[in-house]
Amino acid sequence: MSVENGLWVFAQAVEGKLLPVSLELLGEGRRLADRLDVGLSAILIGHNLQPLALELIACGADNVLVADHAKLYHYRGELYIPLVEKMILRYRPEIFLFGATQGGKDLAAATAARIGAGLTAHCVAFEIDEHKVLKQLVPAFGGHCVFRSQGNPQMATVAPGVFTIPEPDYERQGKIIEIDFSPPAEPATKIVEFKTEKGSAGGLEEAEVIVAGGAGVGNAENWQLIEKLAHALNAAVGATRPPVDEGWVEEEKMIGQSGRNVRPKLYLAVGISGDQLHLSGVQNPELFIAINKDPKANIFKHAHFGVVEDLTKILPPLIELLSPGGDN
Amino acid sequence: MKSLKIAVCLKSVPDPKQWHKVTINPQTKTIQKEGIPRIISPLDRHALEAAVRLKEAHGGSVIVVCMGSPGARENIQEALALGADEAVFLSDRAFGGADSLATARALAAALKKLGLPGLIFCGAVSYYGSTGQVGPQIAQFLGINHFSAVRFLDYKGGKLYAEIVTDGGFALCEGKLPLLVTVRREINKPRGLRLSEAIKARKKKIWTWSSADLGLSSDQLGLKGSGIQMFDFLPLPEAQGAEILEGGPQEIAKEIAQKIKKYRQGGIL
Repeated sequence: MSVENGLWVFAQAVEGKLLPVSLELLGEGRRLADRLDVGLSAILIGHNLQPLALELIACGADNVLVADHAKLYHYRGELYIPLVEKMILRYRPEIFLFGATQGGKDLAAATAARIGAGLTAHCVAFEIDEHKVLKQLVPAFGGHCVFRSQGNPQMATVAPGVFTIPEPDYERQGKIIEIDFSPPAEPATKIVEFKTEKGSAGGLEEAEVIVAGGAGVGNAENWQLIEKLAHALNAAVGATRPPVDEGWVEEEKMIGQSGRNVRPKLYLAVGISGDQLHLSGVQNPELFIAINKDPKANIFKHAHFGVVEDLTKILPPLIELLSPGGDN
Repeated sequence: MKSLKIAVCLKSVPDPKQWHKVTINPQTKTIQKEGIPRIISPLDRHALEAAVRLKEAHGGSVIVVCMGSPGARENIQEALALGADEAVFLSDRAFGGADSLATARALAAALKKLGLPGLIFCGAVSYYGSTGQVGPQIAQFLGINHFSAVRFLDYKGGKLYAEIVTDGGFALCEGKLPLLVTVRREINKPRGLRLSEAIKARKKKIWTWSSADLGLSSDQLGLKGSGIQMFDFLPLPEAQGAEILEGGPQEIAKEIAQKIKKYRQGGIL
């Protein structure tokens, strides 16, 4: 299948590994490309990329466009943006999907502006309509807003964790196309130092049990109850936006459209009103318990069990019961 | 050395505490946010603070550029009280309904008209839309470089040093001006509003520009100039609703603990 007029996925390499969201997008990209009967190509930029290119083919890519250079090892807008623009102008993809990572979002936004194309953020589902146009679904207002982006290609970003990684098949055949790159003689920006650091999300994305708090927690002192409950349950701590704004908890713990996507089995929401911007980041918990003193809170529409009560009355006995030596 | 000209792009957003009042009309697909108090998008306040501190340390001037509905004027006034020297208010019906592309195009045109500042600050994401697209897009329209998601900043010897959050950790970057920078919350703690500054700010100038002032046609701006269009809205079926646990706090706590225990014993966790 040809690289021209096809469906493209930005495959992001960090420290010699593909980010999971790149593979997730290949799975969805394969489904859409088959529906449109076009080729699926991955755009891979970095250094020493051969094994990653093979992994992309195994996960569904028909073609991998590879720009391999030592200077491209870390994401750098000044180098990546014109390079991707050049690839688009040369091969004219129909659709271009990006993971909503730091690098992915930056590259998608800048590239879209350069070619004057629309870019839809926060997509959670795609459909192809009868005119072969990509319908992009974004959760909002208790439903989905359906967008289409103008211009070529149709561009969208998708958060990590929305789609699942396809089963790799190393028998699959694909084509590797090398793209020339020569760094600018006098770049205006450079990376002086690079430090690897694991985020402080505390394993939120992988957590099976999450205790999350919202504005209703009220103050930093009460927030300690959230932390204690999480500790008693051996759970990760999550939050909505207000506790982050108030400084009770780090931004990395924020769950929702502009934070992280989580798939816990058990989700305990405390003092959370249940705005869709938050709930769209919580994927199908098997047990969902909400505690909120406002009986009209939207969270009670979505939880399995609800408690209408002040959290300072419920959490202390609950922490005691769930702690080692408690009545549990 | 030439004095440093710094610009800050500000967005006025509905107060996050009242987002539940923002609704959509499923027929017209228009978003209703009238009557909700507006604030400076929180990360833009950090952007403003970064700009004002840079000015305080190195001299120069800070100009705010804001595109928004008439209600945004109050937020601009606040920015002037927080240390900006003057402001440009892009206020015109033609700007309405803009997505990130049309917003960036208009802001870039205004910045160009100002004679391209050496440094441009934006919040890394705005509240509400939270796409994080506008900053990098303004930089492209201006043909300058940018650093996204900056958490630490230093300016010396005519160069900017920025620590940016990346997907693998963080990177200390160096750049020559002109540059656009989008900032994260960790970069600083914005100052509070002082009455004396608010009174002084009333004398500061707010220039109001329309689409004609930017030399852009109406099909490059607002809804018409946007790259994405909402053409449908699919409401979700009403959720089933929670079973509400009744009783005193002790009883309820016990019931929750039992449910969790039972669930764990089911072997699923």
